Amino acid sequence: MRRTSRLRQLMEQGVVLAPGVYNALFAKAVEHTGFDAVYVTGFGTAARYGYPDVGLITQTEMVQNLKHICRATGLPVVADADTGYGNIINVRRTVREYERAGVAGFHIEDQVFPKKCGFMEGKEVIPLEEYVQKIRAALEARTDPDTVIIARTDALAPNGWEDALARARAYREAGADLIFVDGIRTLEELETYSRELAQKGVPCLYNGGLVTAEEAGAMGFKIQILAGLSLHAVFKSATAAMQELNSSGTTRQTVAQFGPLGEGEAVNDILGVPEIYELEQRYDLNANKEPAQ
Amino acid sequence: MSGRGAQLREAMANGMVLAPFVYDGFTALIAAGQGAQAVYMTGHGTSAQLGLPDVGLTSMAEMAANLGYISNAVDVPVIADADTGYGNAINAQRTVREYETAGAAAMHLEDQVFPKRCGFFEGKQCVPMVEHIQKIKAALDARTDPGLVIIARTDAVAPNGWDDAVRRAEAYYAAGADMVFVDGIRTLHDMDTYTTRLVEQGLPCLYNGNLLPAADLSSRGFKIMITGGGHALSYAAVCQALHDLKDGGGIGEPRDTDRFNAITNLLGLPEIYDLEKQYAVDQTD
Repeated sequence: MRRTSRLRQLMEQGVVLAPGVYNALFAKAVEHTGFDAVYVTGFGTAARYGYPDVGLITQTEMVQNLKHICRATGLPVVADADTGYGNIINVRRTVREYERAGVAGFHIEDQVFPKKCGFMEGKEVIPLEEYVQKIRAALEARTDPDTVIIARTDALAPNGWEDALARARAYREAGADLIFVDGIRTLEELETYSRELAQKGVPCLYNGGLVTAEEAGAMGFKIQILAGLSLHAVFKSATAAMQELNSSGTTRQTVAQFGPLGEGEAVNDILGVPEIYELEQRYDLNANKEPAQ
Repeated sequence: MSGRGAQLREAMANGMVLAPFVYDGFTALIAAGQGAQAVYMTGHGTSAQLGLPDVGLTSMAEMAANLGYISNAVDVPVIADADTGYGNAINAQRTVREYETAGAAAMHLEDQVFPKRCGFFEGKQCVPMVEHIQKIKAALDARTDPGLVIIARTDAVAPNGWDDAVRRAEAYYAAGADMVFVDGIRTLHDMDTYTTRLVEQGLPCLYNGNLLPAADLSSRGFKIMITGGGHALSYAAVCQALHDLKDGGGIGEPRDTDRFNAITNLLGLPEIYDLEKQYAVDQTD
């Protein structure tokens, strides 16, 4: 089954919980831990390249990262496509590139380009009518009819609920597979989101961990993403390691604290080192080698 | 001589340089933010984030691209893994130029057969010593920045034993390498051998590992120590967060605004807001 179809199948069965990653190694960890889907964060991808999430990262860099991630895991990949990286014409290319990279679904937002992270100050949105055209263009650019196209609105922070809801309904009307209201900070906001959209038959995505996946499912959500999961784990552990290195010249305690994996062995297993050794035997790669002097 | 190679040389003149493992711009920013004097770009970690094992599958172009992001992200010298130079002496020359362009302060070239494998894996094999001497000479000739520190790495301990490793390290240094790096040091006994047979003979040496704290390595006379959790620690931390998520039935940890702000500050968001003001267009004109 194609991964796009698999994602749709999962959504029919209940809420899909997709932890956020920004590289292929962490995507492998998500698969290994037993999740059904993985989310690729633009915030994390920007951070990986050393930038804040303010639209500095290009579509090319996102696609490059997605290719590695989609190759590394068999899970359906839900990805961040920011504003589609420009206007309606840019969006068409973005859809094709994301499909070719192997993503199962992705979200395009109604912010002004260049965008900002959904939780940052100073967001601005384009007119509703303009975004409706953008989402129509995205839907028409699909080559796989099962590719899940998610319309995201960032209107809540700058314009309030009334506009956010009007936009969400209009984007769904235009044919978006899912709606994503970003920037949900409180349980009250989440309840409004659920009551006004998710429970009124609009398939919705929730970004955050205010409730469990089970609860999110009961509130009517189809996908829950935890966009910041890996980035926060890395920040916490790497900062602790650096502090220990500064104070005692080693990182052993931090490494032990974030175990139970020892000595990088599990990393090598998950990256397929045992399979490489098998291939070397299969193709006699080490047959005729003597120690060189 | 100027630039980050010169900066690294100056730091080494004042004592041992401790360079934590980083594998992307974010981990480089975390290290530099905590005061690291230099950072080390790991090939194992660069491969891992592409989903690949460290067996020479990652290309020079992918390594140089990652190096570029890391060098852009931080101001401190970046010491970069350059594997075998990605082929023969000619390939190594291109690697030197690409790494210089990408902002490397130092890079190490090893004497393994291409494609290589991680220094701590089984089944390593070395090219003949004379071949690596030529590769080191080629690399030195290719520098356009005389400050760039070229480190000759030998992987000979595991396959050939210490006598060969010492012979190689001495020959690479005699050929003009700025430093030597004996990789695959697994025991304190190995560490003692490395110290007495090379460091104490006056060769500038790099140590990769965590057998002893930095202060001990420094007092033994090492010039660079590369260490830290790197991608393996990140991976473990991500796995732990994923297990917690599973165990908690789906709920993540509560939204941590302080940490979110710490992350965005580290990534330079406040400077972006300043720039937006600086280049703002006055709509009333």
